[in-house]
Amino acid sequence: MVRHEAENSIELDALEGKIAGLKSELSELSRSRRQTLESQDMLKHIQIRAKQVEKTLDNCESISKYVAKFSPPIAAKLMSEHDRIRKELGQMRTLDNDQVFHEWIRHSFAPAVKFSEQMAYLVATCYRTTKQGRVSHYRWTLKR
Amino acid sequence: MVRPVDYKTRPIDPDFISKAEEYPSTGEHLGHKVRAEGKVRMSGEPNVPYPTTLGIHGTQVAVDWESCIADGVCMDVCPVFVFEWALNPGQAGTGKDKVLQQGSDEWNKYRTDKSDPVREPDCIFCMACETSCPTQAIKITQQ
Repeated sequence: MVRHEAENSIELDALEGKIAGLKSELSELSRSRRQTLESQDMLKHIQIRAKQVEKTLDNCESISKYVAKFSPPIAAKLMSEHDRIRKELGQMRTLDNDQVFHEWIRHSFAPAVKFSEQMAYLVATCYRTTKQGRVSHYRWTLKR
Repeated sequence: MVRPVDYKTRPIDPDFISKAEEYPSTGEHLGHKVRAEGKVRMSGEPNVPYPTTLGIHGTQVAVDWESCIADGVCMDVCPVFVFEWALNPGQAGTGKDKVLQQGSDEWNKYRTDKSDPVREPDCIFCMACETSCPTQAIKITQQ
């Protein structure tokens, strides 16, 4: 039992590291996207935006694995949502229309990401609270 | 929903914190810092200044109010409810912004409602708002 808990803890810590790494990559992609807006390169802008969405979905998949350590049913729900959005992203990519892409982000992508992040936040906070014996609100540490 | 504005936005300067001369601290608003308020800055159109001088609200969660066009997706995506509408306090999300009448005093000052990081300390650095903002008005900086 103790060994199982230790293994679980190592896996959770590794997943947290992976998620934080992906978030740092998102920050870097934002910097590239800013440059495309500054230079008015709209085609490149849409491409980087799609890349950001893809990276966010990678992040959400890691979150599903992280949440699965505590609740496999919720993780399964998250995973099915991410699969759906990834399929939709494939269609959006072919349109090359920033406005349509943004409305899709608002109506499809944003609610799914919000739910994922809320689940991750709950799990991370509960995990910390259990480990430290006091309520400890978690926040991701970006890698520099 | 993106509100039409009579100027071209440009993304927030990601290094604004380290550029104290360009973005001086000019006050506080609902517990967060405001920089460059009252300062004329250049819009996305070459050599054309922004018509407003509202500045950048927040530090870790920073919103450039010149670039913010009341889209609201930052509020829709934030998992911990950091943002609220500045001119419609207590409200958050797409379509819940205060719509300003063209030519009114508020319109002259703001052009559109603005996303206000009223609960900046609650940010968990998930990056969802920065990724989703259509005009790149938001910059998340962990300190």
